[in-house]
Amino acid sequence: MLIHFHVNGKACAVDAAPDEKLLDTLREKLQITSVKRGCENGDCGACTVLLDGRPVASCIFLTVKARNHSIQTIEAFGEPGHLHPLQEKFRAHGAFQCGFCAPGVTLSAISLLNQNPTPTEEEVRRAISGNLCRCSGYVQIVEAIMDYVEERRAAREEL
Amino acid sequence: MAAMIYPHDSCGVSGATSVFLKVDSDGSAVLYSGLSDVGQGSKTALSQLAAEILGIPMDKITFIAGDTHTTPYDEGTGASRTTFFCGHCVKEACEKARTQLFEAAGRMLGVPSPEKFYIQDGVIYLKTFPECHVSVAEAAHASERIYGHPILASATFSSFSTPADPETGHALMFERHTFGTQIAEVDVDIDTGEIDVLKLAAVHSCGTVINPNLVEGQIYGGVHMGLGQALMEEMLEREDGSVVSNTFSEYHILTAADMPGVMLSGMVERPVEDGPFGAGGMSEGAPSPTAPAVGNAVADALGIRFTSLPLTPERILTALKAKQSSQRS
Ligand code: FES
Ligand code: FES
Repeated sequence: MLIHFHVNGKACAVDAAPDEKLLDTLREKLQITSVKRGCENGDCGACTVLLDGRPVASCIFLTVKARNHSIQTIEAFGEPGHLHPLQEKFRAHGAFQCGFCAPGVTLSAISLLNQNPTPTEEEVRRAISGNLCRCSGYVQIVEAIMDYVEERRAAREEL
Repeated sequence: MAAMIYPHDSCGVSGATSVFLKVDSDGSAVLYSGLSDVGQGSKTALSQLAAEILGIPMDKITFIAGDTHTTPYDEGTGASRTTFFCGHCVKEACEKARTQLFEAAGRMLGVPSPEKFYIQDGVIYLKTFPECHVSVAEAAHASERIYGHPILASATFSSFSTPADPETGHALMFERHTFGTQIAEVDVDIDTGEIDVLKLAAVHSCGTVINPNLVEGQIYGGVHMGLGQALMEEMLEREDGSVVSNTFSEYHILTAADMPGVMLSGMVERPVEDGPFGAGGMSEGAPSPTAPAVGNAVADALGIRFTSLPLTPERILTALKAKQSSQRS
């Protein structure tokens, strides 16, 4: 089946089997390996992508269901040398260790911040609670997101 | 509250670690080590050490790690030993290379006494007359191209311990330890059996801290694992040994929303003997006291001592019921 959708702003057409998962399409056919293969069970969030701005677990999302929708992976927001300001915060706070959860956590956080630019710490914790991290204890991840939120709030107030 | 003591390296083996180093004629350095960096930041911390001793910026250091084909022997990354063992070797190798650089600088400047030099920001200066100087790159270049002595060094460090005597249980330990104490404040819901860890403070002594951000990350990550052990992580098996909890739907780990509302960390910089600049390891020490601290807090709240983990709502409720019925009878 030929499926048309947008990936990171670009129109794409892929030939996908009816039971093909979006994770496999992105990793194997489009070579977007920032989308991580973790549990493949919908539990860990390593495979998170944004579907029309909302986080979904691509390992349990059928590619055919993405037809005519817009998909964003972490490449839509930052690349080496051109990091998203939130990624800069993660770096400054030493938020991640192995980094396996990082693309998913970052996308979940960006999705939250697009809907609510001034979340509380609790809202941030809830928004990334679908993304499991074995290394960090989430402490510096949450600190970095809150630092970003505060900086943006201060910048807005200055205007 | 609970306190712990953790040894660097395991008992009963001679854990050897070695490191190679070369300084190239462009003033950059390459370190080869058998350590594995899975995100804990060993390469970063040890590159900082090397930069400090060689007097060159971090971005001039390449750290090749984990490839046993190209790197020298290391017993392994485990038992909190990497910063301590590899760090010891990195320091020693860098000091040897620095002496070779001073020797080359001395020949170039006609001052044949390496101890009369110091190194800073990529430049080697004569202590008594800093106007007299050559760059690290120039010294390395002259050493390998003119004096026929490429700047190369290696270092090895081993622990010493003996297996436990089967009769007495005694062993000679490698006595280089890290210490830590954690305090947990918990709320136990006696209707549902749920435990909420409200606050957790973790203070660890892992010697001189090379990179506070990395040490904090190790503490927080370790506490997260310790809380998992305390509250929910459990490998359930069937009779035949097959695993029941083989997905994250059954094997639960803490999410960001499950972590204590208040999470504090602290470091006590008590130098570790033989550690590079007194630095020690910060790994297993972090999760070790967490479950005991939570268990002690729960015992304080309920007057019940638990001897198995995790402290699931089911275990708490069962113990509460048993306590009530024994009080009644
Ligand atoms: S890989 Fe998709 S949720 Fe784990
Ligand atoms: S940084 Fe390793 S899983 Fe999150």
